[in-house]
Amino acid sequence: MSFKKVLPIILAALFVLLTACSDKENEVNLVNLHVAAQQDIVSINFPVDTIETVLSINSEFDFSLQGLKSQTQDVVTLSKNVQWSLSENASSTIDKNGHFIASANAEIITLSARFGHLVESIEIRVSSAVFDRVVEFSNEAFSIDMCQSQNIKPVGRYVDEDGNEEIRPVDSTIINTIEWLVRNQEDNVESQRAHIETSGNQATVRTLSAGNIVIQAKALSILTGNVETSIDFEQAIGSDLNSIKLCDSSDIDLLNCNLDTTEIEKDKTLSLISVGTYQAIDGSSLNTNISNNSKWGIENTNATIALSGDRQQLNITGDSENTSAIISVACGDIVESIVDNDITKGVVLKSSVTCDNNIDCLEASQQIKISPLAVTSLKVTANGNDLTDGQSLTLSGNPAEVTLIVTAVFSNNSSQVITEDSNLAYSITLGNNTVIVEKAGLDGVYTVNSFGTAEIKLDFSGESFLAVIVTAP
Amino acid sequence: MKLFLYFSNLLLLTIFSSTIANAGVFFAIAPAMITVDTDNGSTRPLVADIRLAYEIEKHQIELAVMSSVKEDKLNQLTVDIPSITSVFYRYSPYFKDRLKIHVILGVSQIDVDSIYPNTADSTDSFEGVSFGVGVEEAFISIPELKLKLDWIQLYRGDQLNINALSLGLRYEF
Repeated sequence: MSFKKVLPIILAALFVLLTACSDKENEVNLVNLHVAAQQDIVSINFPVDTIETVLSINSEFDFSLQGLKSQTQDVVTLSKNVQWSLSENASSTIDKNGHFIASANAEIITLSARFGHLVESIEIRVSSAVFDRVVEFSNEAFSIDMCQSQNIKPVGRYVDEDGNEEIRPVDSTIINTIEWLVRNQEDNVESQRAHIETSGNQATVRTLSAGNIVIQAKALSILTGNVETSIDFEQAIGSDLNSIKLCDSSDIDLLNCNLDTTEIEKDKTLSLISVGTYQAIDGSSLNTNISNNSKWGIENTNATIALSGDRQQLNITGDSENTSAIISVACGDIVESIVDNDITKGVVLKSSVTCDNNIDCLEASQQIKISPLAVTSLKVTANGNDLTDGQSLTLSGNPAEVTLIVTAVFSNNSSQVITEDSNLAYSITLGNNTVIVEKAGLDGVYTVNSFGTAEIKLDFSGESFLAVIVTAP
Repeated sequence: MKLFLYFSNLLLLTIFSSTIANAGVFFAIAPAMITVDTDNGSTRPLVADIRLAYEIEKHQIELAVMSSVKEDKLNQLTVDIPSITSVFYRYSPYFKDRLKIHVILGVSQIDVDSIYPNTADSTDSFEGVSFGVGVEEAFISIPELKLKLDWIQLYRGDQLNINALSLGLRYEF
């Protein structure tokens, strides 16, 4: 048999196989195992404390999936490679991120989440019952201390077309419409002790000082068409804050952190946080960043302070060089008055903050020095020619004078001519009186006596420059 | 397996029936790293790669049998390759040079064992077209002995690719 004769048969067979052979259906098992193994997940479940199994028609909910890691036994939220699906014939929808949109009609459906080879399912009821009013402040026991933030899930009363009542956490269509009213329990006036804000379908209680408050939830009842106000929810804000301190915003170890940086350059920004140490129920200490619920102040206008966008740190910008400013922070009732707008956006005053009688209030402060901008380099020209530090420049043509122009470059990339600045020191280190001589009354100007090499050392704010000039015919 | 029997018989027939000059039989052995590659992770078990080939001028037909040497793990996932059987056609445009470059085309069957906690152990079998490139260079002192390096995509799927990288020796009888 001739190989050359067989070869076309081989090639033809391979060509057929090119289009015919593959085992795509067999890939699923191995691909799924790699998905789970990549994140070391051995089991999955829906987070029981946050999941909703009864949802109103037309409402939305973001489902999430948790996974148990094999090696560390940590439970983590799975955000990648989760495949969400609903039972067949479901009118509701769910997208690849677990965002569920309930249908316009009541239905019972099965929601499934697949992660690799692992599958978890849950039954969801889309209810036609409509919202009436908020009946509970939170769906679980709630306690909070001053200067803390805590999410709540208010509970509402829903009624269906047959008059059947459902008591369940309010859904996304309602929670964003609730207006929260907070009053002091003892005098019934609007309270500055706490504020409840809603963002992204999540209500959060922020507290600023200790005391007893009364909370009411006001929202439009779909059932009656009227704005309904809930009953009074009495809530105590604890004062188990043991200490408050200032730390650098970059600190991670909040137990041992301190404010190490107490000096900033003019026009530069320093970020710091306030850290509160709380007494936990089990007696242990809990250190947490309480910047967003602290009251901040500054004693003068030498610097400007403002909370960052997420209110997790205070930014200080130096305005006047060679000055200082005391930054103060307090948690609790302070002497200075604050307005409601400060409560909602974060309390930052243009005066120092001081605790009122030191009852249920703790404070801390730190002096911040504002220094001039650091000089990063000097630029020098001689008779209009650029000089390089330590490298000679020949000025030919028998120059009568050498005129230096000195420019300082600052750390914010700005620059300034400093030739006549009193802090700029000139010293001739080579060729003094022989090659050049300083011209009296004119900074940076030298009379040329003869041909040769002259060196002039320039010093300004810690930066040096050696100008080497060769005079030639 | 019929496919492999067919090609194996074809190989033997060509070996024993050919009378053409510049023809020869090769035996090759090499360790090979198999990459089981998915979008979400890869495992790289090792196999022993044994091949028998027949060459005539620019053309070679080769039977490859590989079996497990070492499994690989991705966290708790253990992947092993108990067997790979392939038939390759290799084309070398510069067959008279000491350094040869081969274009490889063939078919392979790959068995993959996987073990994962809380899941039944499984064996998946993949059959498909294989392609790749290889280089080999003969030793000056022993021209029958060649050092060879092959990269072959044994299986190309929608979400899964299986590649082999082998470095070993070929001997021409």
